[in-house]
Amino acid sequence: MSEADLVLAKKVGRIVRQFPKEWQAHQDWLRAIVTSYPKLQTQYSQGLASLIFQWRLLYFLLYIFSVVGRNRVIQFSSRLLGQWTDEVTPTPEQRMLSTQSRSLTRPYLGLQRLATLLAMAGLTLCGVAALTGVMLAFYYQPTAEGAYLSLNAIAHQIANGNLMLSLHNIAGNGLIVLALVQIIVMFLGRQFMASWLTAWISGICLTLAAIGLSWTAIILNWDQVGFWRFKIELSIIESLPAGSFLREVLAGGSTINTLTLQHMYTLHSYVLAIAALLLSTIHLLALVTQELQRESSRLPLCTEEAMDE
Amino acid sequence: MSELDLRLTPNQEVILAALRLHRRYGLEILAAIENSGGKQIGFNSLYPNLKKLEKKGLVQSEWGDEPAEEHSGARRKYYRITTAGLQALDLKQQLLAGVANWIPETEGV
Repeated sequence: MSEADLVLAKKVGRIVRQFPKEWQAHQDWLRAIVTSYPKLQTQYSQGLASLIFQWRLLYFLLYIFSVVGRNRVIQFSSRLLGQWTDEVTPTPEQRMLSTQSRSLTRPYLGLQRLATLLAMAGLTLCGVAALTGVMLAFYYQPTAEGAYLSLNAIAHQIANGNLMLSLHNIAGNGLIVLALVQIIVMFLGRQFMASWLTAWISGICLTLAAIGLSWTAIILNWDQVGFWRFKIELSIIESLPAGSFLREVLAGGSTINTLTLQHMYTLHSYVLAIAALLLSTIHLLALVTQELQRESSRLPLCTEEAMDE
Repeated sequence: MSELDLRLTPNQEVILAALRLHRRYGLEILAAIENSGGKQIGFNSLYPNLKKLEKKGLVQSEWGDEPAEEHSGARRKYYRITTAGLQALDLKQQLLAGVANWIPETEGV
């Protein structure tokens, strides 16, 4: 046995021992890696055996880290939402019946509650963006000349105009961030029921709508950065299959002018804005339904995937 | 226990089968499969599969009496099949038997 490899195994053991819970659960795996080393040496050349040994150690370490990370996220979210999750934990009888799955169930409850809260925040941001958007639309002119001037006027001359503009920007960008975080949270708390699936799909569509809203807004400022960025990205879109049609829809012609601005403005404030509002409402309703269903059935969940590997 | 919990992947099935009569530790399971001529399970997927089976309640683990390994300080664990695990295996057998015995209904001549 090579001395360096054994030192490596010792180090791995020392690292994993930092996480006592995971060490308790998985130390037999490390032992198997070390004790199977001599057998590897009889089967393969020294170099190859050492390589396989190191690969096994690395895999073990990565696996442990993923378990630790997952546990931490679950712990954190259930601590964050502890007082709410207590209401929906199974009754003592159910606990007796399902001691095995209880430890699994509880963190999922926390994650699902977190998803509902995030959906609520998302709808709020959508509402803020819509409200400030309407206010901006009172003064905004979607024309090549007027766009820059009117936004300038909103920012500097109209009472609270700057506040509205900033709120609109913050709400729009915040919605993108929130929607992306929401995808992760929903993935971790996944549960294969119709309400979850509705929320999952509407959440992904909401993310796309939020990104689309941000994209259609780049030309609306009618400033240098927005103009050139839009020109470049439009030419990228044009190189797609059916690109000239897309360009026609988005830009309303071969040049970027008032017509382009009107197209973008319409997409931004009618099509995508209404889609985002609807989607975030559906998203929230689906997640609330999920919670209601669970609370009414009060059954422990089985969220572990049946398939693995 | 619902039927969903008793579903097994091919790897989990062969691991459970190796535990049917004896309690074994991880490497012993691998050896049992290998020496019976079965398709060998990847070393790296054995332990994650054992953990999943344990979570599902199909196997339970206990510490071995052997002293800790001298370099890593890791102890050995033995795995034992539970009643639910036996049920899962039987269910699989029934499925196989059912598939073998199935005959298409004769359609009107």
